Amino acid sequence: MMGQVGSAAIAFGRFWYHFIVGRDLLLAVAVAAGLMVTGILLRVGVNAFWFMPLLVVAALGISLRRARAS
Amino acid sequence: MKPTQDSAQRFAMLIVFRGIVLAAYYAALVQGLEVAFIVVTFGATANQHGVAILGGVAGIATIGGLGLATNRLITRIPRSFLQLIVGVMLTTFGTFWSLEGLGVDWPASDGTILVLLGLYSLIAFAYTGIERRRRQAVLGAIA
Repeated sequence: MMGQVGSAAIAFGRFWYHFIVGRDLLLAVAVAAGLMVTGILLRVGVNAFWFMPLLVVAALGISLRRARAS
Repeated sequence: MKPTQDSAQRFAMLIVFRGIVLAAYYAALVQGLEVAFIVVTFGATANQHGVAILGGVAGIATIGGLGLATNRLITRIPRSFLQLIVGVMLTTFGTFWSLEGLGVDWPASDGTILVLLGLYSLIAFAYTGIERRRRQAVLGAIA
């Protein structure tokens, strides 16, 4: 019984990890960091609409490079 | 055929069938969850959950109908290409709506979605081209 609950909890955790993070943790961390940096820039008065798209392009390139190397 | 071989084949088929069913269930669950998130987010932002739910249901019915009608055509499209298109779309809308939520003032208002779509499509095809050339170079070096 406990084993079934444990494996169900692991499957539940795996589902959410896969849903939110996906295949590359780096991309998820980059997106979270990008949102935080954009939020900070907005607070200091910079309309940083350009930051996230540039970060996405750069992070995707790094992620592809890592995938190729592994 | 020996009984043991027959049993093994049946077992293998069962495993494959279970895998297909699980994969389809998982894909539907993930996509359904995404629809639910979008409907709740839009409904809460505009304070109109009824219209958002109606829009979500209409979207599912339309896409489901189109999927059924063009089933044979869609199965001919490579899965990786479909994943690329969906990825570009999700990244475009994800960038736009997440920054919109933070309070960013987009230079071209909603039209920025098209600019982002163009940028991400260009980058995706550029990276794909680079990877393809690199792979061909490696294969050429091996041969």
